[in-house]
Amino acid sequence: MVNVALGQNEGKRISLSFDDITISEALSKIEEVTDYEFYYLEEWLGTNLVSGEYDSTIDVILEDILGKIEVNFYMLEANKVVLTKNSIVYDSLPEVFQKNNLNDTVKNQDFRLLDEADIPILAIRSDSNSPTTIETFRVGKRNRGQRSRTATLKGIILNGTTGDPIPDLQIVVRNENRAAITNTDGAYEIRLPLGTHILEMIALGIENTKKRVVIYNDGSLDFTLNESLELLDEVIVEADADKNVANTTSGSERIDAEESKNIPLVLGERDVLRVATSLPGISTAGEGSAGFNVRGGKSDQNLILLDDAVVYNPQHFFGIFSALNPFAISSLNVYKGSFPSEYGGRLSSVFDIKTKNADVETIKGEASIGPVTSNAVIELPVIKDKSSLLLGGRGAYANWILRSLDEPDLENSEASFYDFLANYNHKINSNNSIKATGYYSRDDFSITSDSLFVYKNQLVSLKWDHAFNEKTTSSLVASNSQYDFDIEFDGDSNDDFLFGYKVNESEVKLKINHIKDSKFSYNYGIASKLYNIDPGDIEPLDENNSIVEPRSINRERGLESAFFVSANLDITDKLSVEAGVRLSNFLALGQGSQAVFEEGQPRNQGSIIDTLDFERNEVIESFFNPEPRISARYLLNPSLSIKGGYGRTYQYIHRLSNNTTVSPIDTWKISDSNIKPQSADQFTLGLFKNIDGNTFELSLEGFYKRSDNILDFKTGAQILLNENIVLETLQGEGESYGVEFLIRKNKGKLNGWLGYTYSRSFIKFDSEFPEEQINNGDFFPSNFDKPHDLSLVTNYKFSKRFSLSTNFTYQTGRPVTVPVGSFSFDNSEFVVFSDRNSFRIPDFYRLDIGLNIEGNHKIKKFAHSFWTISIYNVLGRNNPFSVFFVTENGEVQGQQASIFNIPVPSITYNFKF
Amino acid sequence: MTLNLRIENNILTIVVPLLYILGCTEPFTAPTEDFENILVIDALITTEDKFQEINLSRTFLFDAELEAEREAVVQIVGNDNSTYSFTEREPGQYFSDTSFGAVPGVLYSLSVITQQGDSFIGGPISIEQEAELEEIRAVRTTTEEGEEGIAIVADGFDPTGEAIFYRYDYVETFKIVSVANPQFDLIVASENPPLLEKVPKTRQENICYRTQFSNSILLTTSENLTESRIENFQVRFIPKTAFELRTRYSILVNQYIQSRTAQSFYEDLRDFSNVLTVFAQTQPGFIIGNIVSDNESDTRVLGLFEVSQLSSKRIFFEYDDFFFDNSPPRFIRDCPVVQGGSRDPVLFDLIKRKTHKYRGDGDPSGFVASPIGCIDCTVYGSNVKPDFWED
Repeated sequence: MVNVALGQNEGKRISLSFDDITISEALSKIEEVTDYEFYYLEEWLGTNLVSGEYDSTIDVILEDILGKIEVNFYMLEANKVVLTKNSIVYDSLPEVFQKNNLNDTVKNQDFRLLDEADIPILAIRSDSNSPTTIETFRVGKRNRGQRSRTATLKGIILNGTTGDPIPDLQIVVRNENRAAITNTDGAYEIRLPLGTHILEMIALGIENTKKRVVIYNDGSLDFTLNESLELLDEVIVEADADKNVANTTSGSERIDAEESKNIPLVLGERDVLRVATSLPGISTAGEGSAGFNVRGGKSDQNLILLDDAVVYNPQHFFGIFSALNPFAISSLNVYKGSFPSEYGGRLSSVFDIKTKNADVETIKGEASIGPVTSNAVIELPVIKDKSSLLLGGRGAYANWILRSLDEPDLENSEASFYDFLANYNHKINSNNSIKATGYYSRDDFSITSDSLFVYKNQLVSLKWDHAFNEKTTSSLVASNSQYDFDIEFDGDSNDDFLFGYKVNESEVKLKINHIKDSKFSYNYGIASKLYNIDPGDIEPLDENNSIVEPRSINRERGLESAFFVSANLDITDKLSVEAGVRLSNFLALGQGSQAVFEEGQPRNQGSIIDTLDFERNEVIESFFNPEPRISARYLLNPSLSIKGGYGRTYQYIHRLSNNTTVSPIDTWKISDSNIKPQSADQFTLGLFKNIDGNTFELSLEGFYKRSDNILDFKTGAQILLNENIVLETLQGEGESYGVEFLIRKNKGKLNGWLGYTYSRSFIKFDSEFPEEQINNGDFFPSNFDKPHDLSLVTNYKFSKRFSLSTNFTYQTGRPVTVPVGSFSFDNSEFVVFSDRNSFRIPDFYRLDIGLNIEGNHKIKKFAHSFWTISIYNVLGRNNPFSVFFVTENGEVQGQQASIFNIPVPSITYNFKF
Repeated sequence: MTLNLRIENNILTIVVPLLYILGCTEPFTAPTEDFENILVIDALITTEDKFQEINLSRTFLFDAELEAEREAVVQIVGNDNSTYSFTEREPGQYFSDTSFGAVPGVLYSLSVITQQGDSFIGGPISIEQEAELEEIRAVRTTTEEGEEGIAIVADGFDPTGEAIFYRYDYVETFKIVSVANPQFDLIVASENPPLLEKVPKTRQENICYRTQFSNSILLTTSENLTESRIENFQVRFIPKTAFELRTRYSILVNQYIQSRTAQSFYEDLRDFSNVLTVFAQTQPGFIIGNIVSDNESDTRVLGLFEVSQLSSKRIFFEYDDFFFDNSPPRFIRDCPVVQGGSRDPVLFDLIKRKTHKYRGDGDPSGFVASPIGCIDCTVYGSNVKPDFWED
């Protein structure tokens, strides 16, 4: 069949010449010198220039000048020539052709001279019922004589909001039973029969989109898709659509900062860390308690990373507020199970927090004003589409809270805090990008008027991402972070002093990823970290009036290095395994001195038989430990999987605290010849199920963890300025186990999650010497052993503007050590404590409600506003935080303290442009 | 914090705190099921030459009475071939049979055998450092809370620089002068019919001396100091309005130079009994001390055996030495008067129940009475002038 159709005047010869004029101008010239009239859309012709001398028939001339663009022509009677895009116009129309079946994009254009009815386009709808809003694209130019009935469609799919490629997007052509998935660059390729197809594009966080494509030949077609608006407004702990079931590793959670904004939290503060504690397996010792306990681990066993640099104290004000600017954070990944081998140095978890990249096109900003803190972030493009700067600041006016606390001791107290964050990211080219982050946070508080406590975090990190090719990428990170605190004492007597503590670490880490194919990938790398700890120095505040002797405890230095490798292999379609190992080495370095104790004697001043001195950089002690990590997933069916894992971790730096909860003046100490590294083994097994796509995600996971050499202290240990802290330390065993259940609804008007954990956490400090035992050397519940832990977070969306969120928490009361009686000593009455943690404070429960009101969505409005009205502790439950005993006038009195015992309403105003 | 973002449109700032947050502490009743009856040994021997005292008691439930440990065999042996036996004079209070003071350098050991046959030992320990309590002073001061008063401060010094751990306690004695000094008393002459009779007073009830002991743990250290010198250590603060200051006041301050073990024992006692803040609580636990069980049974014992160098100083002062407003503190209690005749049933009842005492004669007849404490100072102290007292 010949697909050429020519009118009756085809034989007439035309003489003319073009010299670098547009096709449109050329057609006009033909119209000038002949009777032909052309019907076309100006934009089809583009700006290509044509030149040439002709003395030939009209069809030769047209074929020549239109040959470079995807435009065909059709000769109607009476010298009328219709140009068509892509399609070759057939002489006889197929039966399915309907004259009103117009192409949507063409329909609304200014169509010169031509009656709509005459447009000869053979775009045939395969599904005449599909909504007319589907945009239609045409791809490829039909060649005369084309044999192949199929063509290859290629392209790149970009996120319309961020401009980034969308990976893992599914392109489905239902009628043909064909599908393709985009790679990490957002590229796809699909082979389809010629003709019209509906492409459905599906990806998490992206609006489901259908596009009609009319394929004439091989061609490329790029799409820019919108993020899913519906998802953004909901409370969702995000996961890839099938991640819950299909991921090989278990025990990891991802929290999107933006999506956590509706969860009602104390004083209207948005806080990803607090959202994390509403997930199974992650808890805090109590309200107003800093630090996290993950799967029965101590609070010093969490690796908290902000853009790959360690944050030692991510909380302000005794843990009530997060020290991270919520607007500057893009996401938080929590690994509480077998975490990837690239992470190490902490036993229980990794909190991997990433900051947002600033917009590279326009200036943006976001701010919130709450009753206690205000936050602001501004995004500044530096080089359009290449680099940008993000600046965030945050401050608090918390003094009024302390003043209103019903605690006479706090009457003269003050507290304030602030934090700053800045990052710069630069996309050098498609293979290289860098990001630099700086962070600083500071808290000042004074409990009595003669002492002032200041604690600070500061960190910088520099990351270079490099792609060697499509399959091999690398990232190189250099970071430094520091935590320090000062205590300034300025009383009436002659012992005014300034005490300081500092821990500083610098790390370099190189990681290389290689994707062999869709079934096998691996990564490996090295990391090395240098610790410099100044465990304490004291100096007189006023040298003339103070007799305090300047003194400083020797600096401690350590080098923690690791080589890690991990591979992910799909053995069958159903069985996938991720296995890796981390080989870690720790060197305790001089200069320093180490006490040597007599064997078979309790550690005390009397049993020190020698003190060894070490030169600078001399190795005091070296530890080498392999840390195997393995996890596997077996798909029972596409929406149900079973996963198991094992991981071993080592920790070489320990938080020293003789408080029942975390305090900002806890110090950190590295392992040496007398303090062994902590270690843990964890086994996990779980079932994971998705229902109705990923509308409902269910998981049931059990864990068993055993740890060794965890640190504790002899009763009443003095930690600050103690040169021989080892005399006060005890190292023991830990055991924890539990079952975590989570059901999560990700979509719809009502969404949220319900998490329940039953877990136990025990520790044991045994020794042949009674003074080195706790509770006679038996296992006893840890300070954060809370068997039942239930969280229900829901969000109901009434309309686009109004949504109501609730947060309900129930926990077993935590164990505390209480006196079992009194005794008389030196004319006073005191309390006698018996076994540690033998009593529990009453159970904890709390309900919070938040109403979120979005500003109206008028398009012209410059900025978007968002109100959060929340009530914390709606039930007014008096949840005791601690119990303590005071001896007043020789009499013993028991007291219990709670932090928030009445409903606390607050309003926060958020503003975004 | 002020927000300084000025990019085209300003950021609207609205703060609406609706209610205040209130933290709260309330009484808490401790559980009793885990109560353990443990022997408590308080054995402090000092350099002072006296009948040394050792107290033995038992731990007790919160609402129970102190239980003394009776009929134990208590003995201290020195490595200078000295042996001191102790005899129980009051329940649980054991005094040395001879008067002695600990001698520096001598190693002392304690042995306690209870009635049940449990045996406990402490030591051997000795006095290793000494420091002089150089001076104590009363200074007029104002506390952080703005309260005016008098602080008793101590200065201690060890020229050898070896003394590190200092503990203080005090015994304060002050004079009480009753508001009236009648020479007569009212007694019940007849119950039925009620009749009161005025008789001459048989004892001195006008001037007494009340003695109070310190009940807080006062510790300090020269550990971080350039020399072993304690300056201006506040031992006691007396508010300007305290009745102790009404007449004449005296305080005896004792300074003990103690071992590291004793220091940490006392620190634990102090820290576990006082909360620092509601946010950070020291992990409490069983305080072990330095006395151990001598038998296999590992019976728990809570006790401290300490031999300390003691150095004491006493001062006297009066309100007018520091304050010149001529308004000394009020009497310990209010002293209203009740008037009535010798047959007045109301007055009769007050006198009979010994809540009131004769204050003077009524006008024009009958008697005037006031609460007993206003007239009879022995309600508050002893009418015997202590030996040390200087007027």
